[in-house]
Amino acid sequence: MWRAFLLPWTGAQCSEAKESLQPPFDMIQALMQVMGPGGLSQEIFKWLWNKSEPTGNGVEKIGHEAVKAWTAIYEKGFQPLLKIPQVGLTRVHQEKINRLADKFHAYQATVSEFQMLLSVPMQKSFADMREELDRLREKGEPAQDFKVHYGTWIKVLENHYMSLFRSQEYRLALSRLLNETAAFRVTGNDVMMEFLEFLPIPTNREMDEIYKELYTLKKQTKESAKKISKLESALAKKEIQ
Amino acid sequence: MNAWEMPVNDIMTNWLKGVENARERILKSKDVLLGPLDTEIAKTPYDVVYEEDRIKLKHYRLTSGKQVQTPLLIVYALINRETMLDLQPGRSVVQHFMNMGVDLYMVDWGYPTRKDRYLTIDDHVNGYMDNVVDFIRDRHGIQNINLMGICMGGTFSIIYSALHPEKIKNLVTTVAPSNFDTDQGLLHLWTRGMDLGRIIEAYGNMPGDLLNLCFLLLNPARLVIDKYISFFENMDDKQFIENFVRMEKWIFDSPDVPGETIRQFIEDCYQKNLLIQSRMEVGGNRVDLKNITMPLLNIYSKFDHLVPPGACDLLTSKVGSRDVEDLCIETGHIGIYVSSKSQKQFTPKIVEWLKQRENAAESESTIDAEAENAGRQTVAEAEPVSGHWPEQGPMTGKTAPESKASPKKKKTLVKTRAAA
Repeated sequence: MWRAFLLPWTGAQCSEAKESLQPPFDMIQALMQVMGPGGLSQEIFKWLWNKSEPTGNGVEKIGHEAVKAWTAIYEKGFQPLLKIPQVGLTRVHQEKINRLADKFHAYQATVSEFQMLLSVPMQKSFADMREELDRLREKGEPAQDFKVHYGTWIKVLENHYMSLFRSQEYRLALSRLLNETAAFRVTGNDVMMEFLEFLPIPTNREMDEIYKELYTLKKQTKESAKKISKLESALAKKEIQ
Repeated sequence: MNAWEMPVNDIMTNWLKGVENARERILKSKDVLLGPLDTEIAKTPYDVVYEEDRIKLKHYRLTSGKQVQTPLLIVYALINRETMLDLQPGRSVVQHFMNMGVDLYMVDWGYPTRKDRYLTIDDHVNGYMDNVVDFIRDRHGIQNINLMGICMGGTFSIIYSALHPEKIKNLVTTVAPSNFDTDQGLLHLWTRGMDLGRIIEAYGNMPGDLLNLCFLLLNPARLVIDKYISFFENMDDKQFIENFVRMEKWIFDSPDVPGETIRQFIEDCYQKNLLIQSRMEVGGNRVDLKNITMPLLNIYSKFDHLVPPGACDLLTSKVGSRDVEDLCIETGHIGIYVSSKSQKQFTPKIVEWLKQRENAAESESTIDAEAENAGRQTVAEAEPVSGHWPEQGPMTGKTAPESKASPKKKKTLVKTRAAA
């Protein structure tokens, strides 16, 4: 998979994929030398490299596969490391930092997935335009003005986006994106507040408590002021009578 | 050369022919972009007559004789800013109202900060809005005022009118969503499975930039690509650039929305659709639409991709008023306020409608007569909602389609054809 993913940058053509899958030098060996003999990191790298399988599909599929493969690698290779129980004085802080790293990955993966979903209508519109141009060529009709083709393309693109946006797949992806963004932000805020507590600066949590109290007090004051005002005007009316 | 390259080459050859023109345009655009540009928005002078927390009440000084005695209060949405109603000279809803002798007030919701995150719909409707309405009533020494709500501000106005009907003389709702159970708009689909509580927990308020991103995603082909292609093509046109920049200024001037308010709005309205069923609760009181007994003019756009016709056209059949009118305009969500064609009819229609109802007793008989003459008009099928923003177009002169779900009412609805 990884090799296939790297294919566009190696300059190899699809037909030559099999032959060109081997990197120009033994990267795995080179990196192992850098990392030193043995150890978990080397094992992970070996596993990462061996996990890859050439697919020979289009860029869209390769990209999608790459995200999926990376998520699988992360969940099996990295996530357990972040979940190793922390001990000692810095246990709480370290745990929060690890959680942030984990949430960051989930956020990144969701963003990638979402971006890829958004790129699908673009690819489809290009494919449609290609078909349209092929049709014109087969008919022997000359190509129209650039603006005409642009107008057609933007309409096609718009329609593909509308189809995507109405799909269940998109709605789920959007929900996931928002949830993961929120989760990452909350965890990030948590870590930030952990550090801010060392400084003479109020944290958001502390400010929110004050805001909540302020909100409640203001509301009560406003309601009381309204009631008093009504009573005063009622009293004034009575006095007039 | 392969089969694919041939037509592409043709296109590019054609395109290159236009390059010389493009070069000239770019050279000319240098003068436009580097020269003085008038891109200021909201230029109509006003006085701030009331302030409370972050909100301000704008009062526009009348430029002509008062033709509608009862002042009109405009309540804009919490999303984006009310400056849209005064975007550019000559295409300003505010100026049109003033020129037609309307004593105009407008709520400026300001820019909520983190301390505003706990403000609810109740605080906006029964708090700020009620205080503003009371202020205007006291100032003019009148029992009730005219109220016009826009988009989310329209929903607030519906809620307000149901909770305080004695304070509202006439209600005008424009592109105001009231029925959220529709598949016409993408927002309605997207919000169904959304857990907004998590976003609010994370951000405190709903970030304006996040909302803007969502709005751009409603139609990226037009709003992210085509719009800027059009900008490039017209870079040498000073007036075009000025108007374009004004619109950009407005679109990306997006205050955050108070967290609790947007959470309640999404959950109670978009997800549970409580408002149209008269089951929504605000400040401990049920919002019963039957309490809306004042005349109601309900205006919406045919090509609105944010608040589609299906989100608006049920309202008139659910309120308690005998005097209701639906008006569907062939334009988009923003085009209804800024397109020159729409402006020629949108504001005059409202002013004329208000004038007719200046004297309640007099209007009652007029309305009954109108109702007898007009009756229910045949309704036209709504076209699919396109994603143009802003969409410009003429008024249809057609009434909106009525929902099959709406019960046949004995009372007469004045569903007139707009005098296009």
